[in-house]
Amino acid sequence: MTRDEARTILHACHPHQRDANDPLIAEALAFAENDPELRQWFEDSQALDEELARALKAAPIPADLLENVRAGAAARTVSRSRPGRLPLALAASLAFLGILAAVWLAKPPAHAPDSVAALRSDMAEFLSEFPRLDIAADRLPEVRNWLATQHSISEAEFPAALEQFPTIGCRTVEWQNKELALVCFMVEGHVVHFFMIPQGVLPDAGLESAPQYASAGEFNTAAWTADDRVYLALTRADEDFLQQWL
Amino acid sequence: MTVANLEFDHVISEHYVMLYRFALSLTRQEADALDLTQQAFAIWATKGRQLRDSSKLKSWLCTTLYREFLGKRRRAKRFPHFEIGMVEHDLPVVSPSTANHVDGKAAMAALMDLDEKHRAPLLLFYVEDCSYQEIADILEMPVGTVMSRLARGKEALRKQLFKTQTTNP
Repeated sequence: MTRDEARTILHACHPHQRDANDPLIAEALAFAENDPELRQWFEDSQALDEELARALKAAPIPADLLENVRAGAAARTVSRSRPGRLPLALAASLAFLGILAAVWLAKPPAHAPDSVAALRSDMAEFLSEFPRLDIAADRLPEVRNWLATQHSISEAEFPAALEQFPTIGCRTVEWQNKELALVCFMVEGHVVHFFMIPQGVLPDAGLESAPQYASAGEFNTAAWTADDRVYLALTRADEDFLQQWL
Repeated sequence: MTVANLEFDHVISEHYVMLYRFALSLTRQEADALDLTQQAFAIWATKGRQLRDSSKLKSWLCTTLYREFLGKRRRAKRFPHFEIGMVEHDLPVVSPSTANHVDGKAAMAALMDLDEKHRAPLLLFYVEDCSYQEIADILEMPVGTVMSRLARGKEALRKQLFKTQTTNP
């Protein structure tokens, strides 16, 4: 073993020689015992490593990291249908939706059942359980295709600012015996859930084209109307964040 | 909350800081790091639950995240890559007392200035206390390469800290 080899190996030794039982490191340590200059370098190096490890472990992380990781990870836990596995995936989805519907129907409504307030509240509660998506899709053309085939929405309108971000996927959500479309976007590390509510589901919504903001559960929400449809966006980020993209 | 959700939540709570820091060491961008972290947990939820040895979970998550990172990078093909020179034999000395003045932010900033191939092993070494063998397993590279990258990375990090200190005494 040369001095340079020993030095390279000793770099892999943690402070307080915690890896001294490793054969390679033990050999390098033994070499350093007979080389005072290398031994001194190693002692200084260990002290420096200890300080660096302490400093790096203390480096701050974003305050809302856990919440964002939970939300994003759950939203991505989607069933990716493959031709050979379609029957099983379909059965699992139907079973899940069946359970979901049973739970849904058993709950007493907290608001007038077909009000915007009820919609905000119900969707916030629904999303808080991290539901699975029907398909994973990271590009808007896939989403538009899904909307056209599953919801007969051939010209889906998204807020222009949202369109620049990747999507996560989509699903159908049953509410008040009607089917709503949900598209999830990943916006600067936050998930924005975008619901499209067809004409007639909320006939007296009292909404305008400008978004109306309100919190619901752990979410901030915005609801508005355009082209006879109602739109609802929800995010765990704050209201200012939501306003930026709508 | 179902049992499956509780397990999912527990795994996230236990490992999210570690995984995010590792991701940040790879991407240097908070949003990209968050994206990779979320993706790694999502993959665990669909594929990793069969992992029999729970002691291997940390390593499995890191490897999964690293593969995702490499996959994204291959697709993007827009990440600059450069080689640092061979280890210099006479580097500026950074005494242990110098490091006493380094706070977490400064240390992380210095680490982030290094090349990605050195950031990842150093982060695993310093923050996760991984052995060189564990780092080799996670990054799926030979032990010799890990040792070489640790040595060069540490010396580059010390140089960076020395530069920072002399610029901002």
